[in-house]
Amino acid sequence: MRQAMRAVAAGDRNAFRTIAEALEPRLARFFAQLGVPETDRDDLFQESCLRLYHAAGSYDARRPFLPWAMTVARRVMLNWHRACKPTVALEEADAVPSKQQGPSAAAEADIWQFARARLPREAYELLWLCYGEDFEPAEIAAVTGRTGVHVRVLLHRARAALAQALEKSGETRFLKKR
Amino acid sequence: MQKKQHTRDALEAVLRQAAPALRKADPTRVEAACERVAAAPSAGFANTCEPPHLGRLLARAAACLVLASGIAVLMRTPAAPTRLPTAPISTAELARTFDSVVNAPSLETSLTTEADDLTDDFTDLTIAIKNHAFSLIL
Repeated sequence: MRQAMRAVAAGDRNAFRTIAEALEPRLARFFAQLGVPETDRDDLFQESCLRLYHAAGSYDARRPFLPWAMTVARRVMLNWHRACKPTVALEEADAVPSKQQGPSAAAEADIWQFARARLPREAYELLWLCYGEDFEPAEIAAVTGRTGVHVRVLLHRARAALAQALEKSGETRFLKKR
Repeated sequence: MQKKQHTRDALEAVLRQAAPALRKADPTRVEAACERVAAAPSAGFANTCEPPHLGRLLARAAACLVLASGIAVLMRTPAAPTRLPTAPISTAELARTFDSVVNAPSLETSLTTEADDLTDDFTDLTIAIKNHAFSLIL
């Protein structure tokens, strides 16, 4: 991956195919986990690829590639989330039905769906990066623009909140699955 | 404490196991992305981040040099002061010189005048304080 990125930085556009092929499943899963609908994942992936291509010159080959690529993709996704935020005039706000479903309405087939329905987006994202993507706290810190200590604290809180939610709702089936 | 650790371990294991596995890359999506990259204007970044940077290396070398010279200046042992040859002074001559300085009439007069001045100043100050204190009481 690093070699391919070096080749891209040297002007070889064909080398980008290797990067795109390696990144596509990972980014698709990442976007899906963080609430991007299937219809928009194409655009987000292409936009991420374009940004990675343009940023190839600033990539330091001594650093791991995946967290760097994830950082770029995450920013693209955050921009998308910001652009999608519905804006309604204050007078009409009451008339708009809430799209957000209650936790009980969600089909919680696994613990990730359970967590997504109950935790704040930031906490869920950290849990996903740690246990879904298997990133180290230092890598998560680089991706999310926080310090390592802050990430550890937030992860601890997210785990505690999830454990509490599981206990509160009596959902011990997830923990008994082992 | 042990229960908490156990819950945490169980939670971590379940989260890791439940994470959806990576599927194969979608060729259509990859193709579309590659086409878009191919159509993008050239970024013109050839070897902008090629390690090692010559400039950075030079800066490091210069910093090391400055540091080393600073340490050398600090650690340098002071040179022994060169002694000038001095003529031997006899004790009697030294005593005579000292006596002439201490017992000079000009020194005695100036010290007496200084003492008188100080006494006058103290007197004035005492009177001023006394008057001021009485003015406050009255």
